[in-house]
Parts: sequence; structure tokens; C-alpha cells
Amino acid sequence: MIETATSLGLLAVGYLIAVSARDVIRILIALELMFSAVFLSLIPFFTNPSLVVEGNAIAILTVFTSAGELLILISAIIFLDRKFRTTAIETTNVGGDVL
Amino acid sequence: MDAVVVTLLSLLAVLFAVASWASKDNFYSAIYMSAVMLTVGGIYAFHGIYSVFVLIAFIFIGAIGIMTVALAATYRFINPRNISENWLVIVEVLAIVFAVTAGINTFMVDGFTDAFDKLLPDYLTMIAFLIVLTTLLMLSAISMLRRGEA
Repeated sequence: MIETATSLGLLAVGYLIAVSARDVIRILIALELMFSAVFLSLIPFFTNPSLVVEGNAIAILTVFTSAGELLILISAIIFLDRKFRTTAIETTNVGGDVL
Repeated sequence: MDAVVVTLLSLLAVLFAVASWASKDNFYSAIYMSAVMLTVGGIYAFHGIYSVFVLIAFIFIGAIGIMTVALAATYRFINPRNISENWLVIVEVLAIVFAVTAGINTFMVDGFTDAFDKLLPDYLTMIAFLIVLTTLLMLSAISMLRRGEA
């Protein structure tokens, strides 16, 4: 119960960091906070004996998927800095293949 | 007693998250974010769900968290926020409303169990997952290296 409530609190702060970010490092930090909220929201699975295995499976998939996604984002940040010599969020506004 | 510890860890997690937002330096923001992850892992460890705690500790805090801290230490940015602090109050009030609603409507039985051994009886699948993750990391590194040479 407390865990689910905390998860929503963390998610809200993560969204706030993401919308107020001025550089892409903050976006990365916000995403990691949101993933922490996702991990916390999985806790109720582990209280129901018939859902524990599913909870473990979802946790493993979530951890590896999010880790892979964040690794790609870290690489993208390094590429962005090498191309534009800045990590400011304005440089990413063009988006897509232009980068 | 259990509820007190979980409440304290949860409060710490939210406080560290707010500190991560409030910090003007990316490095300290990343440190606070790692502390949030530690408290989330701590909640799992406190409930005895050690398999998820190990995954969070090794992969998220040990690998991704450290890389984020290193990246944030490299690209420090002064005054990274472009939003009023009043938004924090509004967002937190909304979050509390949603959190109380979700907390009341979440069904949780007392007692936590871990079934990692039923899901993955051998380490082969875990090793396959790690190889895929490492390959992904290496692909990015090789791509950067080849671009650097070109």
C-alpha cells in the first residue's frame, strides 16, 4: 500500500524533472527515477502467492529492458555532445534523422 | 515495526527525488537519484525479495546509476531548471491524491515471497540476458569508436 503510493509520488517528481529539464542529462535522471517508480509498483505482485512468478518475470524483463533503453540513451547523449558540443535540450528539438 | 521501516524508506525515497529535482548541479542530482534507487532496493531487501534487490543493485545502481553519475559529473550544468518551484507543490498535491487513491485500492496480503528459482531454475537464461545487454553496450562503444576514427 505504502509502496504503491510512493511509486506514484516518485513518478510525479520524475515527470516534473523531465518537463523542467534544460539539458538531456536531467532527462536521463528523470527517466531513471520513473523506472524506480515502476520497480516499486511491482511489489504487490510478491504478496499474492499465485502471482509471485509473474512478478519475478515482469521484474526481470523490466530491469533488462529499461537498462538497455538507458544504455542507448547514454550513447545518444554522447553522440549529441560530439556533434553539437552541447547537451542543451534545445539542440534536440529538431529530432528525427536530422541528428 | 515493518510498516514504520517501509514508511521511512518511502519518505526517504520521495525526499531524495525532490532533492534531485531541486539540485542545480547535475552531479548532485544524479547522486540523489542513486539514493532513490538504493531506497527502492532497500524496500525490496526489507521484504525479503532478494532476487529483485540484486537485479536493482547490480544492474541499475551498479551499472546504469554509476554511468549516469559519471556522465553528470562530466556535463555539469548550472541552473538546469526552467520552471517555477510552485509547480512542485501542485505536482506533489496531485501525486498525494493519486497515491492515496492507489494505496487504498491496492490489495496486498501480508507476507512476501520470492519465486525466482521457479522462474529461472538455472543461470543460463540470466547469462543470456547479460550477454545481450553487454553486446548492446559494446555495439554503442564500437559505433562511437568507429565514428571517432572516421
